[in-house]
Amino acid sequence: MATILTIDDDITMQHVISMVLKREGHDVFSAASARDAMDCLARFHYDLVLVDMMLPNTNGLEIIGAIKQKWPYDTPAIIVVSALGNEKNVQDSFDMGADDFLRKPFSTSELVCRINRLLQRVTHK
Amino acid sequence: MNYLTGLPAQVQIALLILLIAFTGILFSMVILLLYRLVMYRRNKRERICINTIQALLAKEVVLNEQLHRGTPVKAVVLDIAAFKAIPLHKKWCRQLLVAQLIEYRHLLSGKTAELLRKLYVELGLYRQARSFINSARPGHIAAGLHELCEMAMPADKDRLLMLAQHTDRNVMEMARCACVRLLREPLVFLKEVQKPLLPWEKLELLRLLSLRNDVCLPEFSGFMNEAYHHSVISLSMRAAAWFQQFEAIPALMKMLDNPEQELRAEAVNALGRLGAEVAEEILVQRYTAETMMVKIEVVKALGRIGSGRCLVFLEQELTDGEVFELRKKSARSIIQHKALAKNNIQRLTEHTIGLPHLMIVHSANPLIRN
Repeated sequence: MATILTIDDDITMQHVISMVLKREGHDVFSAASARDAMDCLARFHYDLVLVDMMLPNTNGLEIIGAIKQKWPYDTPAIIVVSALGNEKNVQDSFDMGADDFLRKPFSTSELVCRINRLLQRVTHK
Repeated sequence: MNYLTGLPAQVQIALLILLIAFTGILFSMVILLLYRLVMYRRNKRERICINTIQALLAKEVVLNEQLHRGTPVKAVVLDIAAFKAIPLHKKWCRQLLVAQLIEYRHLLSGKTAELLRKLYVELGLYRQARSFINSARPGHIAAGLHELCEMAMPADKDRLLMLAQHTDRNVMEMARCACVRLLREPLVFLKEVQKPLLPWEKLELLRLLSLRNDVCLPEFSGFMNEAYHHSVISLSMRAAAWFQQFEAIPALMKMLDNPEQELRAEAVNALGRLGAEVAEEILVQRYTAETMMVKIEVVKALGRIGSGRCLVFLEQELTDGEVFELRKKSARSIIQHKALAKNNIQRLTEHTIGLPHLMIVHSANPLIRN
């Protein structure tokens, strides 16, 4: 069981991800903006962060940069979720330090598999 | 009343205007309040309904136990009675459910998306969308087409082809997109195109076509003849390059003789994107006789083909050319040759001065795109 933070301004998306991951036994928290996300991260340690690329007033890459800068030695695993799945966005995400990239629309099984695999890798470290 | 009649005419008129204004304001305030009340009640009703819909979708679709256990989508039994408990016969409620289904399908793919479609079919929600596309009102047709496309529902081919000729531009464009998304022969409507495909529409059609993995792509060279509208020919040339159909190269080379410069430019562009080395010599031969639009495309195409055989030509164009844009594109094309042009780039960087030097240095900078 892991503690996961989803950063997405789309309430339906938050709802869907939260439902699927809760069924897998994870604790899921949601933030709708960069400020909410940073507040959550400052208060609590998360094992994994799911961040949307397009957010109000900012983008997912900036949030990844901020997380990496603020918690350089204790960074949670990061998955970027985006409908903008072109080569450049994927490359930029990995360059910024994301651990995985998930294109929308995705299947629920793919979401669960990727998260579990990433959590396993983080635990083995 | 007697008192009023005794007043001067100007005062009477002013009082009348005041009375009308006061009544008007009062009337608007009442209307406004009524409207706000109706909206408040509708929002409240929709909020309750949407919560019920989301809870049902979560239970029956997203967290469906049968699907989770590996049951094929066709064999999953949905609790339709639970959905029928919400007032789907009411237009607003049906619209809410369909909007939610479409939104979920935008987020989720695979078996869950198939199950959402199954639910849509079993609830018979497609009937209204189908009747909408047979309606005479453009707004209804557009809404019906949108819904059927989003839910990947098959539609009547003849009706879609008829709508692709509709007088309303919005309906016509949506019908063309629907043909590409829903029909077994996605480009069948191209034969009937009489109004031009707009540039953004060409891109959208190509994008939609690239998402279809259940159909075989047609040979786009078949559309490159005078029987088709010039915007269809342009689309087919772009598509041949997009889908890398190398067998279209001979047809594209024939298009270089077309009297329309836009089509010649598009053909040159496609040849470049296909890396057609066989076309290089012809492109260089025709260069001087061509218009500026085609010349720019030729220089860009030579860079994309990048065989190295035209480096002398490009170098000459950069150093001796008269048109700024062509010289800039030539510099860019030389750089695109990469290792093949190593000596040329070094020579140009060291031995040229002024504009050619600036252009080659500018184009060699990987941080500058144009």
